[in-house]
Formats: sequence, C-alpha cells, structure tokens
Amino acid sequence: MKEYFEYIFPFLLILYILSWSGRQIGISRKKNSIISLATIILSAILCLLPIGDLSIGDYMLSFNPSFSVGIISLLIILLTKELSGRELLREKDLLWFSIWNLSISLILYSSSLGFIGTDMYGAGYHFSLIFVITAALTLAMIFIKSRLYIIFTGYIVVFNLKILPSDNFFDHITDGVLFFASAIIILRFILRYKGIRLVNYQTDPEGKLHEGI
Amino acid sequence: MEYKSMIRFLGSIFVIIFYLMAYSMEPAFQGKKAKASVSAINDNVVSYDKNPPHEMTPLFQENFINKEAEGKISHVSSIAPIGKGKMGAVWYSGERELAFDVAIYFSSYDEYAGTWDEPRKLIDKETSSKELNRFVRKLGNPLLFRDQKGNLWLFYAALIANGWSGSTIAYKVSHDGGQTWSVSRKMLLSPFFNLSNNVKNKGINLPNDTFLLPVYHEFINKYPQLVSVNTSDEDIKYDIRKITAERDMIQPSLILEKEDCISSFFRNSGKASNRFILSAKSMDMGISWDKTTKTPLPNPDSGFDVIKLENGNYVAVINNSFTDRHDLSLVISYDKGSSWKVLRVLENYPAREYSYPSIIQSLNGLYHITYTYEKKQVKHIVFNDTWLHNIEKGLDERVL
Repeated sequence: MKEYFEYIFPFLLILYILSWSGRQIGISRKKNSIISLATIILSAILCLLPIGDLSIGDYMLSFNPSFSVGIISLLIILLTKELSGRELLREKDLLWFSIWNLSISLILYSSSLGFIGTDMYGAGYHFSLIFVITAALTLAMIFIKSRLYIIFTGYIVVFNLKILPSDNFFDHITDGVLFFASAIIILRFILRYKGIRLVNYQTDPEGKLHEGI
Repeated sequence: MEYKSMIRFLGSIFVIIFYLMAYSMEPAFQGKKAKASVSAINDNVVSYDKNPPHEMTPLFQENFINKEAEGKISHVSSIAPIGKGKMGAVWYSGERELAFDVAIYFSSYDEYAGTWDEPRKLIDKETSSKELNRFVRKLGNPLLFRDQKGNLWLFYAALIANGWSGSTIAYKVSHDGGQTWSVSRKMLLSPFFNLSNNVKNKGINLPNDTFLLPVYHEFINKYPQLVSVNTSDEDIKYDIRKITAERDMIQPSLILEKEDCISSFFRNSGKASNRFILSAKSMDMGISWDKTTKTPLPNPDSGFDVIKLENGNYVAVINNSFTDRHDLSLVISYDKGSSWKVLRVLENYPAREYSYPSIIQSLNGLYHITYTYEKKQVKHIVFNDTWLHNIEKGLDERVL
C-alpha cells in the first residue's frame, strides 16, 4: 500500500502542471471529459514511466521521500481550483493553514538541524504533546466550522492506517516542500495585502489622497 | 439536535477514536522495558563455538583484507561475526572519499584457516539506485552488524547530494552469513528532506528482536542519534532519537554496560585545539542521557571504536593524538572509561594515516580489529585473551 500511496503527490503535481500549462496555451478541460481523462492518463504515465532508470515520480521521491498529508491536501486544493475553479478552502483558511505549516516546520527543523536541543522529531513516533495539540485543534475547527478540520483529521487517519513511508507523525503534518510552499503562500498574501493598501489609497487629479477607489 | 450539530458531534467522536488508537500504539523505543540480563545479550556474542582456535597460546596476527589498487583508496571498514567460525568485513573503495565510483566491498575471514576470501563488490551507486528505485549520487560509509537472530545487516550511506550533508541511510540484510543479500531499502530518519544521517559504529542487540543502531547527523550542526530497530516483522519498524542536545559530536560507539545502562563514546568534531573523546550514559536504554563528559582520550576529530570485554573492562582503538591520524593505539579501561592505558601502539608513522578502526569479539572469543591503512588498504588484526592478558601484565606507566 505504501509503495503506491507515496506516488500520489508526484502524480498530482504533474497533473497540476499539465493542467496549468494547458490553460496557458488555451486548452480548457472544463466540461471536456476526454481532455480531462487524457491529462490524467498522461500524468500517470509521466509519473510512473521510467526515463532512463527512474521515473519523474521516483526522482521526486528521491529528494523528498515522504510527502505529508499537508502537502497532498494543499495540492488537491490548488488542483481543484485549477480544474473546476472551485475553492475547497477559503482564502483565510488557506492563510491560517500556511501559518500553521510554517510554524510547525520552523520549530521541527530548528530541532532537527540542531539549533534547539529539544528532540521534537523523536516525539512523533509515539503519543506525545503534538498529538494532543493536533487533536485539540481538530476539535476546535470542527466546532468553529472551518474546513481545515478535514486536513487535520487526515493527519491522524493516515497515521493510523500507516500508508505513508514514514511512521513519524510529524512527517504526516509537514515536509520540506510544504514548508517552502507555505512560505510562498504567506509571502503572496503579504504582498497582495500591501498591494490592496496601495490601490485603496490613490491620489485624485488635484493631488489629494482618497481611500477606497 | 440539529442535523449539522449531529454531524459535528459524530466527527468529533471519530477524531477522538483515531487519537486513542494512536495512543495505544507501542513505540519501537522500549526504554527500560527492553532491559534484559547482560549475559543473554553480551553485545554481539550469541554463542561460542565448541573448539575455539588458539585457546591457550597467545595469538596476535596482522594481515590485509584487500590488495592495494592504483589510484584507489579503501576506507571505513567494519567487521562482524557471520557464524561458522567466520568474520565478515565491509569497506568502501574508490578514487577518493565522496567520489562517484565509490563501491562497497565484502570479504569473509575463516578463523581456523586464518585467511580472507577474495573481496567482492556488494554494491555501487548504480545498483543501489536500481534497488532503491531512487536517485543515488554517491555511496559512503558502510557498517556490518549481526543481530541476535544471526542476520547480517549492511547499513550504508546513500548520498543524494555531493557532500556528507546529503547522506541518507540504506540497508541490506543477509540471512546466510553474507552469501546473498536482500535488495536495498532506505531509512527515513530526518524530517527535512531526509537529510542527513550517517553510520560508523556497530549497534547493540536487545531482547524482542530489537537492536540499537548509533547514527549521527551532520547537516549544519553535528550531533549523535540512536535508532531503535525492531525486526520482528518483515517490514522493520524503527524510530530515532537524539542522544544529546549538545553539538559537535558524532559517530557514537555504544557499550551495554549493565542490564539497563548504555554508555556511549563520541568523536569530538569541535573546534578546540585539544579535543578529547566524549562520553555519556543512559540509564533507561537510550531514552534519556546524562550530560556529556570528557574522557582522557585524545581525539583529532577521527573515528574510533570501543568494546566491552567479558570481565567488564573496556577496550578501544583510537588515534592517540590531538592533531592527526598517524598513531593508532589499542587502549584499555578498568574503570568504565574514566581512565585508560595504552595496551599496544598498532601503527605509528608520521604523516601517514591509520584510521577508522572497527573492533569486535567473534563468536569464538577472538578479538578482531580492521582499520584504514594509509588510505590504501584495509588492515586486519586478530588477537586472543591470552595475548591480551600477557600484554596487560606488562602494562607500565603509559596512562592516558
């Protein structure tokens, strides 16, 4: 099971890249099931078919051997938006999700790279504080009706099913790719926020500042 | 109750059940539960053969495992018993350390005949990549280890980037004393792109099909770690812990001191001019560790190995220098590592390198050392208890 599940991220990423590229050159898959099916098949072939000794999926897994539930979820969110225009997660939730990913990754990597003494990663193999934190957050999200609870529930479900290559709970929450992806998302939010402020304050022909144009 | 409230309630119950399932999972690191009688474990010694060779007469022999090859180095050897009066050794050879052509070799030694087989290539980067189904840029440190069931484990560094920071650990297993090997499998030991773990010294066997494997991290900061490997299923289970929060120490060498106490000695990779081998103790089988202390043993930031004798004394092979690797010495401690005496200077030739020793006791009770000889060959030394006791009688003031 693990051997197949680990290819989900490479497959989804190739599918996303193909779909995005198709849209850029004017090929729309919306309401065209043949093009959609062809894109999916092509993605699977590109993911699994060896070029030389290894496939693109194998190369991706060589550099990041365990893609987390978090990055798979993020990719599903982006892919759904790309394919159907539907937003699975509200922008505000996406921002909070990225902040959560970046924060947990920064703490985890600080520990793993030896900047702080605490052995965070070692605590991910057995029930520890991180399980309590994610359980509490999941329950809180259910009650505040945030869709993020689906991703948070995914962490513990996949952990118990043992279908990721790693048995460590932290590897279900985050990974190096999600860390960088979350940083980019947060940066984009920051830049856009600044952009909105600039648009909102504009000068009229007389040189006076006006808000909300 | 409203429909949506009911869904939320059921969702919460579902989440709680899954977290309770995680709570009931047994961790691979058993801590004090793993303690057992030391006689049952006694490091790697499983059982002795009936007729040990050279029982009474002092034995001390030196030979080379491999031939010198033009333009090739041989480095980082590791030796382990493989059963039936035989020892196995692995090392890597290539143009240089971290070269693309580095391959791992294996040879076996017959304790009765006193000879080594012709070395054979176990794995190179191409076969490793094929077996792992992953990109492998280079190969590095190999380690040979025999578990309690008699299986032979080859752990080796499979690098995905140029330097040691790009090292990941892969393994192969042999159930027939090194004649045939399983395909390689990769271990996931770090959350950040699985960077960067490496091996050097042997592990220690524990009950319940478990062994502790010392590894180390060297990307950005250097620190030692311990992997608990459970082999009861075909698909092994493992987890990794930091040995210490302190930095600049790598390549731990483990000793099972008593039933639930492990001692570890560390290569000192700090910046000080006079560096010493460091040590720490765990009283709960590797879960938590005391603060690291300095031993009196010098360390020029080089590898070494330590074993415990049956009488409880420690014997180590070290570079007896603060500056370089020209002096390789056999040293002994009668007080669990607090003080040491030189038993014998194995090599001492200025400006040459004798390094990365591996020492172990065979199933026959003989002691075997392998090490890098001038970076060209792997040298092997074998001695017995009688030789050791004779040397101990003649110990003078060579206290370190």
